[in-house]
Amino acid sequence: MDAALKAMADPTRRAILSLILARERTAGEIASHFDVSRPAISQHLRVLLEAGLADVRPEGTRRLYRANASAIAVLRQELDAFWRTSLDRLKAAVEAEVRSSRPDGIGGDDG
Amino acid sequence: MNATGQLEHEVYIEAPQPTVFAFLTDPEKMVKWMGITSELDPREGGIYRVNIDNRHIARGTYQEVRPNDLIVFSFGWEGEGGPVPAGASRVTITLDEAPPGTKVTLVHDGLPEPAVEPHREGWTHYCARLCVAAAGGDPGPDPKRM
Repeated sequence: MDAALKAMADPTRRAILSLILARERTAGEIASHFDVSRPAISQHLRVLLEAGLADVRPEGTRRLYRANASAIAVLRQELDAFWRTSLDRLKAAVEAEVRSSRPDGIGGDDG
Repeated sequence: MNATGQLEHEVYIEAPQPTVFAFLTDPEKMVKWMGITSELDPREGGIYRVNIDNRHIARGTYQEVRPNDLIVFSFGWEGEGGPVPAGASRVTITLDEAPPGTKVTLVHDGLPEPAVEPHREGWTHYCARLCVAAAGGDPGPDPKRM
């Protein structure tokens, strides 16, 4: 999970994932969409492969990259759960403070 | 639905907006609900860094801050190689008056959106881990990385 989160933290890598989500592309095709060097793109692809967020397969002399949609979905669900849990905790923390400072409950600031 | 996808959550909190806002912007109050330590500079261009569980460190830049009303920040996880670059992933938290409390809406956008259902086993595994992390616990080493 940590590798995937870190892989996703970089905006270029997120853009690469979006690009190879719909269809497979070669590293050259991917590089043509970005202003960074080809070796930099290769490095990004390596990180994505290691994190399990992308897959690669040979076709003749070419290597085709594709995003691993289910791995991205898992990460997304995880973030979703993270925010849901965090907001529940925020609610509990705020309401606990309100209760402790105002034993009568919410009755307005002048009450 | 936009091309890159977004997550959206809403929660009603029985407290006035300034109280909720303080919990989002005051480091001492934030750690009561998120993270072990947090460094927050809640103004446009300011940086935040929240140590969630010693393994996950959230970091980004405030893009807009309207007291008691709105907070917009870029969101990323700090990598081993140093600070996360400013990214397209963005979180917007809106506080709306909803007497006697506040409606909090959180939108996280700029995320890739696959059109495929996640593998259930993987989802359960990761959710269990991050839910523990969000609750301030340490989920331990990820067995899937070994």
